[in-house]
Amino acid sequence: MIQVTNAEGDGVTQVRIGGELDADSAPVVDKRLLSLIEDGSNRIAIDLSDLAYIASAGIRTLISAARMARIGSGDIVLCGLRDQVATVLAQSGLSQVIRTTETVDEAVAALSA
Amino acid sequence: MTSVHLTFEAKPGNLGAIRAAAADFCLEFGTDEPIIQAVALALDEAATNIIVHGYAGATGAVELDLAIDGQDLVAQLLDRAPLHDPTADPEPDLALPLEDRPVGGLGVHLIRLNVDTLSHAARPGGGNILTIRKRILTDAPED
Repeated sequence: MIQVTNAEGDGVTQVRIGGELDADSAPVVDKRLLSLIEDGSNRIAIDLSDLAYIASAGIRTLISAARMARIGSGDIVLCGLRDQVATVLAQSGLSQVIRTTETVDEAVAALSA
Repeated sequence: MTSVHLTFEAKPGNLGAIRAAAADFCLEFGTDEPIIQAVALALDEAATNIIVHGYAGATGAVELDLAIDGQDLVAQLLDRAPLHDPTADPEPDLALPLEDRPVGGLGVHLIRLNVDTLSHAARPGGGNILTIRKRILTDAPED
């Protein structure tokens, strides 16, 4: 499930992705993130504190979003990662490539800098 | 050998049920949470490949066989999709910068990282058998 929780506050959009992000749920999330970025909201703090599980389809969604955002000089920052999600992100080789923070405030600050 | 055999319609909406079946099986044996997560991920990725690439939209079934052999989980995924050996796919280059990474290969990579052994065989009568083995039980500590 994906919700925009704060559209464009301080130029940073806050999004929450919850539930489980697998090949079934990833397409909808993918579409939503990409349309936000295409509409110009390309600095996105993604709150994953309600995300219990991620699979490679979800990882690919995050990679696509990061790529698209960076093309327009924006970025995504992930926050609130739970154990399973942090593990899979690391196993996918993304720990040094996509920024993560503990809290949403830290993610917004990272994107506002 | 304790085992279960389950059949799922090959659609993405059943991935949650496949993960749950794997987790429930492991829980019966008191498996630790990180190991349950590893098993669920590996079977999800394997089933996803069968559903998305194997059947590629055609109707079909994914059969899941779960068994305990000593301290190991032995899981098999069986399908009637075209013959394809995912273990022969090249490993993705994770050192590439984000912009240059190819899209594919991550699923099998994640399976390999989360299981002990992975092997593929042609299924008699057509299709594939993917066999995964992972140690899920630890020796009980001496009191």
